[in-house]
Amino acid sequence: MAITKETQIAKIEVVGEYKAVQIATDTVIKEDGTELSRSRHRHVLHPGNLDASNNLVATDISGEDAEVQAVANAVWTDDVKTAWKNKLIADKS
Amino acid sequence: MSKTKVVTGGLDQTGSFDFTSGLTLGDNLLFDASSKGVYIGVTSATAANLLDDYEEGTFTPTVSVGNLGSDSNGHYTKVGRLVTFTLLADSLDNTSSSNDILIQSLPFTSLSTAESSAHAVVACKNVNKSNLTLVAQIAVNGSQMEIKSNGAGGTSNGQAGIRYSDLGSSAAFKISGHYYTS
Repeated sequence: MAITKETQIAKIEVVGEYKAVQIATDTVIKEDGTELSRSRHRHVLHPGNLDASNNLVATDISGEDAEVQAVANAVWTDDVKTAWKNKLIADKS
Repeated sequence: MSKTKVVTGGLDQTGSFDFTSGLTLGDNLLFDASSKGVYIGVTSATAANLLDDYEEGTFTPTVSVGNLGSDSNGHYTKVGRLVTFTLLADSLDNTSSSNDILIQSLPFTSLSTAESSAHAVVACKNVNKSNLTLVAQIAVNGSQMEIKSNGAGGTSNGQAGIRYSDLGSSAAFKISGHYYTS
């Protein structure tokens, strides 16, 4: 009887004009290959955060799955980053 | 009510059935496409009555400056477009930045409409401000929320941001709320 635990990226979604990348990751527990349980963890990535001088500091995605990195790098164009930065600045007022 | 057992090995039927005396299932109901759901409270297919999404899970909150302690966590349930969440943002380690505090990494991106800028209930510890009534304002079209004081000295909308420099050692926030996603 072998109990295994694995993680699977269940969804990568690109949402909204600022191209938020939503990731759903499932943790799957199996016994001899038969699924016993599955739980979901989510996180959302945006292009970056503002520093104290309102510069956009890019989100570090180096620890993300390669597929997630590819999606983020594809959709976070310079125009998207600029729009996101302007939105964050506007949100502060 | 007497029951008629239809099939035990699964039923693959292209047409439809009428169950005039109710329907009892011995197992979960599973659709063949993730976009399918159940029309509730109507007798014809009406988009506004279609419940086509449910999900529960966890998320890990983060902050815009610095880091959180390892006890930080969040849980959510999404029913249709409505996301309900609770989170603990524990042991914020930055107590010097003049930036307003942003709690990030909510599980879904909020709607872009102004009314989706919902507010969540906040409990806190080790925040060096007096007479605090804190709320968390969830940003539109984002997955972050700003911790704000609902007291005097606020901006034109009656609220003022709480900064990292307002925090004492091991400050923490417990937040619960709702918001809409797409």
